[in-house]
Amino acid sequence: MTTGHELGERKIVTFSLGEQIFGIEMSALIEIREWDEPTPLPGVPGYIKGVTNLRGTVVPVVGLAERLGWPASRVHARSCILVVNLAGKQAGFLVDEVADIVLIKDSDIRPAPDVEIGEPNVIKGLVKTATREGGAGTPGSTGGDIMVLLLDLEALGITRTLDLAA
Amino acid sequence: MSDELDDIQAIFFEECTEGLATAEAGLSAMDAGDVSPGTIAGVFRAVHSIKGGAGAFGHTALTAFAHRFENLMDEVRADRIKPTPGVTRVMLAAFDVLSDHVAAAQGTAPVPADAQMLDALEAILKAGGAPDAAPAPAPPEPEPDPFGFEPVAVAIDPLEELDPFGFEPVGVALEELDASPDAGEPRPWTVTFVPSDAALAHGGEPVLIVRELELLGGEVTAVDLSGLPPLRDLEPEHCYFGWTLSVPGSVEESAISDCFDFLAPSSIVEIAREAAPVADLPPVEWATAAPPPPEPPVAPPPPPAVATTPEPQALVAAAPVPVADAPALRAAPAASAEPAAQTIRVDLVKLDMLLNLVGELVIRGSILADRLSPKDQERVELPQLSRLTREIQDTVMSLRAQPIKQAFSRVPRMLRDLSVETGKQVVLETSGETTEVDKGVIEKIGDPLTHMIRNAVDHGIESVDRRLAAGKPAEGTIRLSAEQKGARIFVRVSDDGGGIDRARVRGKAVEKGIIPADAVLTDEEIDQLICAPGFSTAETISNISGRGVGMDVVRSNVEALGGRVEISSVPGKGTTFTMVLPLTLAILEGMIVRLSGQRFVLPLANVIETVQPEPGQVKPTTTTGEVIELRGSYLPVRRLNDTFGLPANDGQRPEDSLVIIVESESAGHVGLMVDTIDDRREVVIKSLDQNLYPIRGLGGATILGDGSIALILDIEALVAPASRLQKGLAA
Repeated sequence: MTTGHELGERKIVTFSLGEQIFGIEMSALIEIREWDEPTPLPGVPGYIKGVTNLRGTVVPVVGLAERLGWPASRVHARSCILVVNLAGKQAGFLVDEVADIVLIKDSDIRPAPDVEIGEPNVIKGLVKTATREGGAGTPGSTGGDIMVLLLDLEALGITRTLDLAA
Repeated sequence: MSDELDDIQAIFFEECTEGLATAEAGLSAMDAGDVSPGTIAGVFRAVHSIKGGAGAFGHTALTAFAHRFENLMDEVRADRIKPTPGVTRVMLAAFDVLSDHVAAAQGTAPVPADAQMLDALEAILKAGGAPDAAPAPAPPEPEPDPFGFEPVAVAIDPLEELDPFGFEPVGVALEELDASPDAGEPRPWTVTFVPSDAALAHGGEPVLIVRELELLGGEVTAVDLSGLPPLRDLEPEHCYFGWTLSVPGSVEESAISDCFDFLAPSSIVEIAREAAPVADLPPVEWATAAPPPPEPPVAPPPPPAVATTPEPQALVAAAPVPVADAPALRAAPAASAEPAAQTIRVDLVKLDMLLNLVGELVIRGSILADRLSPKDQERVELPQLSRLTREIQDTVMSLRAQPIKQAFSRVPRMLRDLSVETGKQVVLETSGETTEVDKGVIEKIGDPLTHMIRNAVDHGIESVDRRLAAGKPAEGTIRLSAEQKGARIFVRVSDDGGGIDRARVRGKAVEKGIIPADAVLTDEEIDQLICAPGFSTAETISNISGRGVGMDVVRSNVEALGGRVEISSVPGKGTTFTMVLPLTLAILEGMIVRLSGQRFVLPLANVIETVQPEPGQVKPTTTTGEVIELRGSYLPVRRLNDTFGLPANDGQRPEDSLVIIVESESAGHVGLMVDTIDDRREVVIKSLDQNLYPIRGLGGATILGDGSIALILDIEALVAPASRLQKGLAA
């Protein structure tokens, strides 16, 4: 990998969803897009908002809040879509606001306690990062630190099996 | 470095896969009675190149096994061992072991236990063909037997082709005697190797070959630097050196030439005995000029026999590409071997990219046409552009077309395995293997086909006892066929088994809650239940079918390709599964329709006519069903808004909508009610399962000129009677 940082460290993209700050690995991120109403699909679970055109590829758009079992997030001006690579497939996640890109140490990741979001296994771990200047008002911040829930993208993959259960 | 080697190795495994497919096709043909020289030579070449590559990469177990296999093939090729059914069967079994060896070399499977098979091959080699001869331990140096046979010597000496008596040429014997009369130790080899300029660019790292020769005991005696230019002219990617190596004479020439199996074109390789007067003579002349020897040579037969006779195969091996085998192939009957044409290897990704670009071109073309005034549209440039685009598109599609044989080739082995597992006897009949289908289709029908075959053996064909009791032959038959009809490909798997046990299927479906207990179903609808999601269960399915995919996945895989699965079954006679697939996956002529404001593409191929209903022309029949009266007949009408769970304008009158009459294979003519028709154009199909998964009722999606996405309707899935069994398409 030529991400330019040392072994044992990784870059994560943090974003807010409801009251929480989440993070995903930077290496899985393909791009961040503005919200654009996707084409709805028939016969899919409600969290799949539809499909959108990503430079000629048809990519599903997933409401991450619903996917995690929360009420659907309301789309507003800063809503955006994180296009990520999920086990070779691309998917867009609707999130409330992208916050930051931070470098964390692997050793700082704490195992996730059972967070009540339906499926505890989608949280890979917890990590504390320093807030950026002026970011003290960000939800989830305690003092100068924010708690970031690291998402396990593998567990978020969209498969039909999951949908049959849904 | 190791990465590069891995890359080259990946190419080797790719070639192994192709080689195995060729070998299997050839062996199957031999099993079916085609023992023409071309077929046998094809198998021999395939096994030989697997052996050569395996040697270069140090897969010793694979090399050893392939070598023994090749020996036998060589004997058969030279017509010294008759390819009797017994021999062919052993070779088929040996082929299975060879495949396992290749898998083991790739690290995807454990190394197979091949001792028994090696013995079986050896037994045939020794006995000259008797397939059931008891395996005998191979003596290190075979004794000439009383009948004048020299089994091992002939096995690896293609010169036999020139000399029916099996004698060693006198030149060999004399030279051996001259050179080392006592020990029989042949003179060392002098190997001169000058890689072509472009060797490095072709991935042929010469040092690897030199190392390989060193492993055989060779030593570099000289390096030719005469080609080395002054530093300022030196191209770092060019190869300027030549090597001269001395290799011990006890090494077989084939072993040396095998080192050069992977060689860049126009490299120079010379292999000769040191200081031997005959070494410079062309091999053929030497062999024919030599008078027959008075007696067998003193030296141990195997090494000198091959070593001093540059075998034809070695010459072929030194040539860089398989095309060198072309003369042999041309001599072969057309049916038995694939003609070797001038080919290049192209990464499939590039072809996919090309196809995508052509797709974009088609889209831009139709946008451009839309922008122009009708008068401009008729000008000559635009039709010309369309024609060119169409030609490019057809050519790209033909690049991707492959004979469906590739998907069929793994079936014979699977059937052999299944026969062993189930104890059922099954013969396979195939037809239409040469039907050409898009590469993408071939890749995707592999798994469905596997499951359909497993299903046929497991559930279709009865046990031997039951077959005999029913007055059928003990051997079951599975027919695998492919044919093209219009723009569709039909792939059929039929068995002559007991047919679908409809009472049992129905009972199971009720038990699983797929249908209500009082459902009234036709036979066809019951057959379709096999494909219903959740029908396959561990209870109804043995470990054979159960470890594959369920029939519902078969159906959705096929539907994802824009195809469908048809089932027809006659109790007591057998069952036929038909996959109906589109010829192309890429482009479709469609009608853009609107449903509740959302645009959908309706494939034009299905459209018969469009009707603007008069008041009263569409009549309700039941609470949910409607029919349209059209020229005295009544056709069922589906409101697509309802089908897709879209917010229908409640109380929308039929006369405010359009009814498109479509033709379907399963339900005949059906009317589909849509809000409006926008347009008619060619669209590029983008599959939904690339990033999501196939969705029933949709054949994919397309990107319209304004960048938005329209979903493509799958008419067959929408109107198929079975779709009523599902709880509706909308979740």
